[in-house]
Amino acid sequence: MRFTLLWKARPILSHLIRRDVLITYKQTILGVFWTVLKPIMMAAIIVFVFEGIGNFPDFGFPYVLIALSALSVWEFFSSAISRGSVCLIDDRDLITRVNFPRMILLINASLKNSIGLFINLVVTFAFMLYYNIPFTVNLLWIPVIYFFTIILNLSLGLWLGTINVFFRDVNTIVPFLLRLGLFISPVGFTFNSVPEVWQKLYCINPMVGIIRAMRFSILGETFRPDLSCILIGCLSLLLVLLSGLYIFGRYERKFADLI
Amino acid sequence: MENPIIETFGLGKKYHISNLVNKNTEEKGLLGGIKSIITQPRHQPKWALRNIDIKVEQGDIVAVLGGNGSGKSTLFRLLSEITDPSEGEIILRGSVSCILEAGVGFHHELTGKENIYLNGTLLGMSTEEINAQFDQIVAFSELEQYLNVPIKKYSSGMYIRLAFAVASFLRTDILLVDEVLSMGDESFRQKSIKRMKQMADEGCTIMMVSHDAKILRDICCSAIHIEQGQLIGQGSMGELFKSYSEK
Repeated sequence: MRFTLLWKARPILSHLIRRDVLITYKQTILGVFWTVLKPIMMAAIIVFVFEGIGNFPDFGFPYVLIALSALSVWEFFSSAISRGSVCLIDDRDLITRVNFPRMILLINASLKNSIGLFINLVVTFAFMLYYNIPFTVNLLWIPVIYFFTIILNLSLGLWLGTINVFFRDVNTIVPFLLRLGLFISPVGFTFNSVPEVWQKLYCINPMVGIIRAMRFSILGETFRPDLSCILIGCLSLLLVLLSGLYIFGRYERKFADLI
Repeated sequence: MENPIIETFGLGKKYHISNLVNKNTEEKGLLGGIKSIITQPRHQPKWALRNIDIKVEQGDIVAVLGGNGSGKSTLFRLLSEITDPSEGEIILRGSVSCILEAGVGFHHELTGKENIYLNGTLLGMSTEEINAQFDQIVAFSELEQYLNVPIKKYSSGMYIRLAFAVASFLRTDILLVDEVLSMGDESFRQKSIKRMKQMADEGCTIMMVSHDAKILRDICCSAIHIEQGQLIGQGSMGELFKSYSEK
């Protein structure tokens, strides 16, 4: 019944997506070019920090590619989460004035910056061409990884968005948690750097599985993730999703009164 | 006789309002402030509407009368299911569209055309429906030349015209309109009133709030009067309006 309502509201989703894409680049000079510039600058900083200062095991790949392959999906995740936590508040006018499935707002947020992900991947591929890294058939996994990342974005968005309606503390804490997440997820380093005893525990963070899968599909066999890690990630993802759906569904009808 | 299209039974809506100033218990200074936070109940209930029993027949144009803060918008929010009632029951025998504000979802950076689609889908139209009626909507708004201009460049009159144009081509059984018509110039107002009557003739039931008595007397045949969340009366426009304006 809920699902039918959601399905009927597809046009709202498509026009909200269009709105967000259009307004991001209106009245900017560089426009879409910013999306290309951002990952390159990020990669440059990460390369400087981890390759220039720290010592890093050699996997036979330029460090910038190891960073970029993870960074592409991390950027997608983090921009969707920061959007997801505020999307209900930002569109409070819609919540208090129109009756539509509010989950549309969160689905919209979890898809945010898909264009950015695409451009980041193109930048990564350009670097691969430059360094003569072969493209493999593993690239076909990318749509699957994309799908799982969206589900993760949505699951966390359901939690953070709902809490934010009641306690605006979320606004302050989410950017902090995301910065923390960047360092505790294997973005600037690889999974192998994690001590073996902690590895299973580390996989509970669903971003670990996603990032490892992404590296595998871009850079190949060297980074093949073990199945148990992926399964642990999927399980914890499922848990976050179900609990998020529950929390959101429980409080959704109160949003209009409290927001 | 057919069943009324809208029926409510003992409808009530309670809001919890925090920091309602209570003069008797208000204490001064930091210590007093902390003390009052601990001792006072954080949220105090306030009934925005209570014991509302109304019936609306299909095809009627009903005026909702009442002063500021009397609960008119809350009634619309409940009828359009934006929020759930705290008590009582609503029976709706048709689809509802609610216009609580002109141009809901309008984004100032988007063009008129983009906003028509965004607003239209939010109000419940499908993209195909908007495509099919797009020319009529534009013609009604008289904004043909400005369709590709961001609406932040629009004058407030143009904004209202665009908003009302989308709303007036909704295909819905029940239309709730809150204070939208009283803006815009006289000629556009006449046109909007004509369009509302036409919609009612086509079978659409309309409930409207306006502080402009002239508009209400022009188009509404029956009325509902609410004051401070209580139903004062429901009946023909003529009678109720007389008692309303005597207050």
